[in-house]
Amino acid sequence: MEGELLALTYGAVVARVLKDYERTDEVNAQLDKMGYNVGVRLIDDFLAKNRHGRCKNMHETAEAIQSAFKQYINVQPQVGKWNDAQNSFSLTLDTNPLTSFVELPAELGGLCYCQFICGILRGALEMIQLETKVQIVADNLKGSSVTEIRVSFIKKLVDALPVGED
Amino acid sequence: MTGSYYFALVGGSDRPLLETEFNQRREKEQRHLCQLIAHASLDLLEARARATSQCFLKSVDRFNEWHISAYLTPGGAKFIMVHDQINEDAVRNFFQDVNDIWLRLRLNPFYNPDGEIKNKSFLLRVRAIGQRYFGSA
Repeated sequence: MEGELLALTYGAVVARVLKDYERTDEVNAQLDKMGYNVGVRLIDDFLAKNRHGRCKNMHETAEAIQSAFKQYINVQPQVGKWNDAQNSFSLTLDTNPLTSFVELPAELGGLCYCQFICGILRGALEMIQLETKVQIVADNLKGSSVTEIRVSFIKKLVDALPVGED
Repeated sequence: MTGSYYFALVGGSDRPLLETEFNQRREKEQRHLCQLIAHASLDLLEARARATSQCFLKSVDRFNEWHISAYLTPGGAKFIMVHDQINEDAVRNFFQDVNDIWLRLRLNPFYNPDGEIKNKSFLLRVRAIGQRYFGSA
């Protein structure tokens, strides 16, 4: 039952943002920003509940993300399609709980409905010093049978010391 | 001989959101007449709805050779069928199938409630359901 409430609530949020911003690229940016704000807070909750310890490489990070999906929205994504450098992977969702009742109208073809999830991942990973690029490469609202989210590691972030301290 | 059927989906404010026909043999004027008949029967529809708790209201009105059957969804939308042959089972099944896809459309965040239905896949599905129950269009 809570899956339906999540899907309907998220749908109402997207419809509202669409009404406010109208253009699909701006709506995508807003959904990403909202997701980012959620992600920077969600990471603390996740780390508190799972005493995971530091991840040594992207494989362990991917496994942690997998268990986070299971914990928060009750779906288990598949991890795969690693690149040669082993720092970029895809999360594939067979069922997408956010898009249960949604049908994208023709004029909104440019809308990335699940950009919110990309923002969450980007925000959470940034809080643990990983700068990543997260984007949707296959969308089940646009003809694909699965939703595929690509996570690519860009660089490790180092906290800069404030001026005047050593 | 297959009868001809005119289906109208009327929203809460008595605005037609969808109109379509099956097996319409006669001229274009037929559609205007059917539209008039369907909307004229709305008062009788509401009177019948007050008397029963069922969704399917069966035949609510007659106009010359036309029968008008109706279905009132719990959300307040009215399905009206104007037809010249009595075929209660087919009409009831049609209404129930359209109700299922109507519910899905209502849950879609991109559909404005009580707005005109521009969703092509919904229109195609309604036509497919009609063809299934009323023969070839």
